[in-house]
Formats: sequence, structure tokens, C-alpha cells
Amino acid sequence: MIDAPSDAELAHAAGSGSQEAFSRLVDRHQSGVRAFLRRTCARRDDADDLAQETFLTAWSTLGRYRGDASFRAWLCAIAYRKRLGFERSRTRSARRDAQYLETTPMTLTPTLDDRLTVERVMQTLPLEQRAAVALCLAGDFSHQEAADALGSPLGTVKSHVTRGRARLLEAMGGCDDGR
Amino acid sequence: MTDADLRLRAAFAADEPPTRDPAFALTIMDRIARRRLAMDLAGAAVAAVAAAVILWALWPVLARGLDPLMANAWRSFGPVVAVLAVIASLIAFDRAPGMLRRST
Repeated sequence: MIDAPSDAELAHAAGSGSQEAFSRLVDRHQSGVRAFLRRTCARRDDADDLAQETFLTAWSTLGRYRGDASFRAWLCAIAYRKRLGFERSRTRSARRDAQYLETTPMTLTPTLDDRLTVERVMQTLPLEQRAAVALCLAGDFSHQEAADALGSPLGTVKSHVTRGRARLLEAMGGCDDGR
Repeated sequence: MTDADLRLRAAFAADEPPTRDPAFALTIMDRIARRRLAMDLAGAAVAAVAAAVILWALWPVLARGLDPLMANAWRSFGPVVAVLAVIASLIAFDRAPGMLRRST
């Protein structure tokens, strides 16, 4: 059986001009990057636009990927910088979206109810905390990987995740047992 | 893991984009192809301008050397030079980056 090439091998090939290698990297990581951005943006369209920009930036800066961090953490670092830039230019719009979510009636099925609650609470968290929660609780990033992606100290990320989780659980009617 | 933890995990999972999304990947690759084409064209334009400037700067020297040759040579070598120019153009086009060819 032939092993699938690693991210680092594909990144090297893509950096040498292989479109196929980059296409495989997009296939492999689009879901994770989009999920991360969807959880930090109020609107899915904005998240997917930022995900496209993230991959375009990754393509043009592949030479800077050294392989010391995981490729998905490197991608999420780019995505997070895009998100920060977007935040600066769209603060008013985000506030409007949060207000809309707050006024959305919560009379739906329990699962949808939970989803809306999570979306609403996520939008009230500070962006860095939201990003840490999106990576560690929603994604399967380790705290260290999230710290690499967000450019934050490990302790700060752990603290963001703990506080964010507590806020989410409280909103969902559960208790936080401190884990 | 508490019940709320499980519900939280389920809520996040329900919002997950598809693992494979060919349309999204195609959009990315299309935008990369466009950007690559723009970069190729910009590179070709810069090279053409540079070549034109060099030729303009060297022209007085070249003209002095070529004038006597060209006076009679064009009649006999003109067709050969034209054919060579076409062949050189074809070779240059063949070696041009793939994006440039596919875009035409």
C-alpha cells in the first residue's frame, strides 16, 4: 500500500509549482479552515470568502511554510489574521448580526435550539477567545496547536478555552465541572 | 463528559462544512489560475518593456553596424530571417508557463 503524501511533502511540491499538490491540500484542509472561520464569523458567506482568501494567501506564501508547525495550524494562523483584518473593517456589521441573533426566537427543535444558542454565545465572546474555542472545542486542535495558530501564549489559550466553555455550557443550561 | 458537553459537541458538529467540497476547491484553483495568469502577463510586460528600453538604448550602435549589411542582405536573407522569427516565436510560446497556454 502506498502512503498518502504528508502535508509537508505536498506543500513542498506545491511550492515548486504543482497545482495538483496544492489542490490536494485544499481538499484536505478546506473543511477545517471553513469550520474555524464559520465559528468566528457571524455570516457563513463571509467565512467562506475569508477561507478562499486564506488559501490564496497560503498559495502565494508557501515558501514561508517551514514545516515546524502543523500545516493546518499554519493555515489557521493565516485565517485568523484574515479574520482580524475583517473584524476591523466590519465591526458595525458584526454588531448588527449579533443583535439579530439575540432577537431570533428560540422556539425550535432542541438541536437547532442548541445550535442557535452556541452561535449566539460564540458571537458574544471576544474574538481571540472565540477563535480558541473554535479550534480546541469545535475543532480537534491541541492547546499548543491553537497557540501556534493564534500566536498567543499557551496559558492564554487554555484560559480562553476554559472561560469560553463555561460561557457556552452555562447558556446551554449545563454546569461547568471545571474540565 | 456532561450532557451539556455532549450537546455542545453535537451543536458544533452539526455546523461542520462537508469533508469534501469540489465546488469550493474548484473556486480556489480557478482564482489561483487567474492570479498566476495575471502574474505571467505582468512578467511578460515587464520583460517586453525592458527589452524595448535596451534596444532603444543600443540602437545607435546597432544601426551603425547593421546599415551596410541590411542594405543588400535583406533581399537574399529576408525570407530566412522571417522563418527563423516565426520558429523562435513558436518555441517561446511552447515554453511559456502552462497557465498562459491554457488561458487562450
